[in-house]
Amino acid sequence: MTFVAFLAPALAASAAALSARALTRTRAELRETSRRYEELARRARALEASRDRYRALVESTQAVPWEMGPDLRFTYVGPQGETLLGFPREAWLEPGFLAERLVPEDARRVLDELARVVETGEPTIVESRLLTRDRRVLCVRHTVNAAGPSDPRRRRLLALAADVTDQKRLETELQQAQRLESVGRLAAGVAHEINTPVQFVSDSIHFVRDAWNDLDALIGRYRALRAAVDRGEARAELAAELVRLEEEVDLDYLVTNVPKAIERSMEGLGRVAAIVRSMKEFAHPDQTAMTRADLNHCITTTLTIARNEYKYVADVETELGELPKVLCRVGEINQVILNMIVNAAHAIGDVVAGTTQKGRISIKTRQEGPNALITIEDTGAGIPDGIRDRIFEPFFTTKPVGKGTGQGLAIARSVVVEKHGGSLSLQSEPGHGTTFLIRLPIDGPSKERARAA
Amino acid sequence: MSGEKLTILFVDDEQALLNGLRDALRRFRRQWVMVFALGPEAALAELDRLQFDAVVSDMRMPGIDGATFLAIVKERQPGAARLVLSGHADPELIARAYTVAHDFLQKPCDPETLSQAILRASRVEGSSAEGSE
Repeated sequence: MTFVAFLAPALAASAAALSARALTRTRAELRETSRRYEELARRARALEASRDRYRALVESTQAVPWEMGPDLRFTYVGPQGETLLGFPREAWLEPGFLAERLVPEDARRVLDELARVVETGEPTIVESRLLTRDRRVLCVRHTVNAAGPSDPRRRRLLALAADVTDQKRLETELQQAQRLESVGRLAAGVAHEINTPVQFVSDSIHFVRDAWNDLDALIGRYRALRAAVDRGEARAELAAELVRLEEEVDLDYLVTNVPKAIERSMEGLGRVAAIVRSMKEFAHPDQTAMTRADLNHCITTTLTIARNEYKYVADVETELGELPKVLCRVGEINQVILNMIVNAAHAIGDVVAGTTQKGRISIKTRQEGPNALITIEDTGAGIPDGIRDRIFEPFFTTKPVGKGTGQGLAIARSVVVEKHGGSLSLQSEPGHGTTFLIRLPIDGPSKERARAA
Repeated sequence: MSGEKLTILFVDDEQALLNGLRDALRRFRRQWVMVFALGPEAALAELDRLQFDAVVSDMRMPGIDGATFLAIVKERQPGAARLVLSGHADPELIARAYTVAHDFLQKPCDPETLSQAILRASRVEGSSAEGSE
């Protein structure tokens, strides 16, 4: 028996034991590995499902999700982007894509605003008009957040871009409808304001015609008298007849009152002309561009056509200070002033109803730094604390059905704050009245916004 | 034509309008005694002073409106014909006017139409008006 032969069984035994142990361990390890693998796979599936769910969610929204780098170049856009603008996703990712799609008037403002978000990391909402591939203009509202490190050079912008074109159109239509409603109501009042002078002008002209007929008869007699004098046969009877005729036509009355009737007619015609001119100015055709306007003149014009709305309940005082011309859309500002005057008249009307008293509406203007300030004060019942926050909400009204749609102040706010970058606030003391303060940036909204930024 | 003159009250809150009426209706000066009151307060004072055959009033005036004023006329001088001469033509106002007025005239209204309406209404209403036309 060799040594080997002697060791072999022991070795074999220990090898067997070893391999058995190894096998056991390997099996355990294998089981463990397989368990881990399955766990990983499960997690991967879960992750995938979660990712798919989020993608489905993000990519199935109406709004378009996008991401861009600090160079304002898109790095991701949801597939909705293709439907929105008609360009494939690859086109979005090209440099300068956004700048090309923005309508020129919006480009500077939108790009500046996005650059500001990159710089400061502050979220924002920015509205833009974008050109589609088939040359339609869409109003798109981007809700933008900054993501990534605090270093602006590595910051990314994440956003949802929503197509608000229809909403904008409806807002415009609603505002138009409110304007037509108030113009319609004004029309009845304006008709009265015109009918009164037309009545007395017409009466005065009738009188002048009657007076002329009387004077014509009288002149006939005067001529006869002169002819008689010429013939050297001036007779006392002729002079006596003249005296009688003068008394009959009441010559003294005519001499005093014909000039007055002519004055009155001219005054009345002037009044009619002023109302017609104001109406034309008030119903300013809608312009898209802002122009410089004299706000004091706007107030005078609006007071002229709204006279019938307030004259039975209130006296109006104006204190119109020196104001530079303000960059605005005049038609919209007139509408705001009208809404304010009508509200003031209604507030006073509720207080003085059934009495012979009248309230007072005071309108003042002055320059206040970069703004024009208009204050409209009434001596109405004031606005209770409880509803003061709600009066600018659309459809909020305390007026009975048929007297107001609840759009007046909501539209005033939209025009002043959103469209002109100004502010609209109020002070009210229940029982004493309300003062509305309108501030409009003299140089228009965009400069104002740049200054604030 | 008898010597009896019609006494007529005109009420408006606008002086120019009253002056216009006074001049335009001057041709009736031999048949009518015309009184012009600026606003309802002044008109109420005239009701205390004179007995009228006809009252012509505006509708919208500060304080008391035309309908309320004519209701007072109806109570205090039931024999007086009541007419409205209004610049407003909304149906609600017209309906209200007709509860107290015999006729509703809309501004602008020429002197011919106005005078005929006054004569018609006072003939219907008052015995005092019968003999004069």
